[in-house]
Amino acid sequence: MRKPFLAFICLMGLAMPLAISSPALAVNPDEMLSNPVLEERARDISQELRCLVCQNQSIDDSDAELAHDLRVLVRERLVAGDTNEEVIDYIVARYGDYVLLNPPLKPETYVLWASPIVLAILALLAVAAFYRRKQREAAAKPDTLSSDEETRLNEILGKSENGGSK
Amino acid sequence: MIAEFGHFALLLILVAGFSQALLFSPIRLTVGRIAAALSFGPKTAAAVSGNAGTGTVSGAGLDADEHPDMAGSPVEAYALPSNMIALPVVILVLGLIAQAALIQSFIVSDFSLPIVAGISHSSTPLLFRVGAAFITDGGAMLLWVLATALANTVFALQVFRRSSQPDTSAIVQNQFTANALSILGIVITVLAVVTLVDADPFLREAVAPLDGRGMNPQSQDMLRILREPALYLGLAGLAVIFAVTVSGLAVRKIDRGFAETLRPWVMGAWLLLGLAIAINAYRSYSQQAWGTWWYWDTAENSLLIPWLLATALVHCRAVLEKTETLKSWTAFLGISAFALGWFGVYLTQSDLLSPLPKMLTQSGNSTALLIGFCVLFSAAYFLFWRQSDRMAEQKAFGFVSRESGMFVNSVTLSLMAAVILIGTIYPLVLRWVDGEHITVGAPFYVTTLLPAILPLMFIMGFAPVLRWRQDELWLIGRRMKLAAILSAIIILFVSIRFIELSPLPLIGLGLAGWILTSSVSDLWARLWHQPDHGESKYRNLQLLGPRYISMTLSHIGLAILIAGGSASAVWEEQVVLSARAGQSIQVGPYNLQYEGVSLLAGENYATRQATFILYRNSLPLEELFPEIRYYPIRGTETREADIFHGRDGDVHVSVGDRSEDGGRIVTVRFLPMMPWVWGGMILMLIGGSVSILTRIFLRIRKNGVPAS
Repeated sequence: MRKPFLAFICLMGLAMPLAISSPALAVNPDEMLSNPVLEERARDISQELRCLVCQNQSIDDSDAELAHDLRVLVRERLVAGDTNEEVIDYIVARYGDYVLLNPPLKPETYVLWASPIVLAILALLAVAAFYRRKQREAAAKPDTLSSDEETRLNEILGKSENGGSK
Repeated sequence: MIAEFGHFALLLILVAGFSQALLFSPIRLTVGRIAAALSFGPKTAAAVSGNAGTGTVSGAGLDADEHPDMAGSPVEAYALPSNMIALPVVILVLGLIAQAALIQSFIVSDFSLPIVAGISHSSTPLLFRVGAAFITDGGAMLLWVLATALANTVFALQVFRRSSQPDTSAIVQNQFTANALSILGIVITVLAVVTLVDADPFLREAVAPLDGRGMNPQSQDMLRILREPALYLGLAGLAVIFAVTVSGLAVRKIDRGFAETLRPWVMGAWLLLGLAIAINAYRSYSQQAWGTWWYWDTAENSLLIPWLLATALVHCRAVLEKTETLKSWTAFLGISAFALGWFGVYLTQSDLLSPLPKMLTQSGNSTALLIGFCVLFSAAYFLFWRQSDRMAEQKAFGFVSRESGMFVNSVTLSLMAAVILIGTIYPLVLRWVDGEHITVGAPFYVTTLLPAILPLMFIMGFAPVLRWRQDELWLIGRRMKLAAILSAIIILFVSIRFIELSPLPLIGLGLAGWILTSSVSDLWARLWHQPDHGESKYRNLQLLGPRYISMTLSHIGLAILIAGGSASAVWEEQVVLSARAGQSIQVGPYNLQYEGVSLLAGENYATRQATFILYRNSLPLEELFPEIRYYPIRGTETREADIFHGRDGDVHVSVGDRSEDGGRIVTVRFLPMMPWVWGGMILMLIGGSVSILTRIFLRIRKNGVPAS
């Protein structure tokens, strides 16, 4: 009973964008599925996918025509009974990884995903080294003035004895 | 004719900038010494040899190896005649002339200039014709030159005034400040060359088109235009920081005086970049149906990265000024902030990361910008590499101390900047390496930055109450008792009240509460629990000082911003429907009545303006007018949302086309606590201004009083 109804919705979803030629608003009521569970899933998926002609906007946010087409495509696949992963795979197969806002973990992106961790470890090591050096310097130097400080002090004292320039 | 005038001024800036670079550089002294040896110009020779006697003169001034005892040495005689101040002023005047010439060309719509023909049109309103002068690549570069010239002049005045003691004829006494002026001259020269080579705004074509191509409707927006001066003035501030840092490295003067010189510049750059970010966020928010205020796109990231580094610098500079530690780290941040600001301009101007094919982006050439970047900063980093480990730091600080709090905070901020930078350029690198196209979007940044932000916010809560040098954990615990209890109550309240809330926004709200309560309780303690000064509590307020007030306001602002951001993302309500006139839409505590659409004519566009009446508890509050504008020159539409900033949230309304059933597509969002985001941003900006304005105010008051 449910399948033909969903197919009808899906057809509606396809027909509407054809009828509207000017750019459509992000998530038109026309596109929305009447099944709230499916629609919710569609919105979730849409937020993961990039509008191909925009600057880092998801298709859920964009009102470009291409984003609209993708939103309809997502809903079409959902109605056809795909799981969320299958829908995303379907779209990636057609548009490539470029469409994913969250870059997938694969050999090309190992460096990308590893970099925050590597950087964090390096920063930790650097900070640790910094403190160890500080500690060693502090241990090596008792609470007396260093030679630099002493010359500086003499300089200042010497100057004030001469009457000072200021 | 006007454009040629501007072109000539730009060329003169190049020459004047180069002269400034030479005249203030140590090379000048070498030349002077040679002249003296040839007894060529006896007066100069005497002055120069007088300097030589004091031992500051070094043929290779940038190579401090020859005088390793320079570190920490006080003012050194480096006499320059007082009329040298004229040079920065001349550059500034030339910059103003060039900018005025470009603006005038836009005002009179001189379409023989391709830059005007490409973006303007005779029907573009005057205000936007003026603004258009800033938003093309060439115009933006010119604005950058002008902003740098302005910063250069202000810096020269700061330096000249400080050293102009009545008893000395020497004005710039310090090789350190002279070097900084020389480096600023180099920066101005490089920027002028880049402007002329990459995107010369004053080029003319023999045959002028009858009319221009018109402005991109997306850019016909006051906020878009106002962002440019804020951004480039911020970058000019970073340029001064860069010049002072490089100069400080060269003469190994990274000390208290160095930090004091930098103080207004670090604060100013932080403030202006923050302003540019806030403008950018609000613009994204108010345009179209987006309602999102941060997309992690290239333009946004290239603002955020230098801002994060400037934030780190604000903290490190304070440590340096107070305790003369963190010398090389502050120097590294000083160079990197400007380097990444510059690189960000390159990324946005080159459109390398644009999703559109090259021919559609109408981006010009940015090669000179990249070459300038490489030359300038490889030299600066080389100098840093040579000099950084030779700067002795006498003082130590314990692991639990104010210095530590600020140091760890600045490292974390730089780490975040580095991650954002990698995320931004990774798709580009991958495209070059193996032709693969990927996108790095919001999910990547959220997952990777969150682990850094949370501890950062935790530290932010108690860092301001830490003592300098050495502190004890249990003492901190005692001081933070009240704040800890209060924020625990907030978390408990929120988690009970909103049982279904996922942990992440809960942590965000909790940490925001932590910062807020700790800032306020510290302020309270300082105001009321100070040992009595025998005077009124007003005296305690005065004793806090502008720095403390500025810091507290900024921290509270950030807490409010984070709370608002988390809350609005979690509790956002959204209604999308096809509405008919008279229909009422319920969203959050509000009720919107759709009244219909009227067709109106704007100055250079036609608009379909929808009217909504906003009700709360069936009382009309305000009328909202979201629009769809059609710009006939480019044949494109833009959507302008209308926003109501209420007590408990923003109501964001936008309209779309007619839907199939004859209604109007309407998107209404209720974003609870969204005004907190904007309020937080404004509070941070006020916090920054307090520090600068009090300084200016105090200086004026000091100068107003007769010197005797």
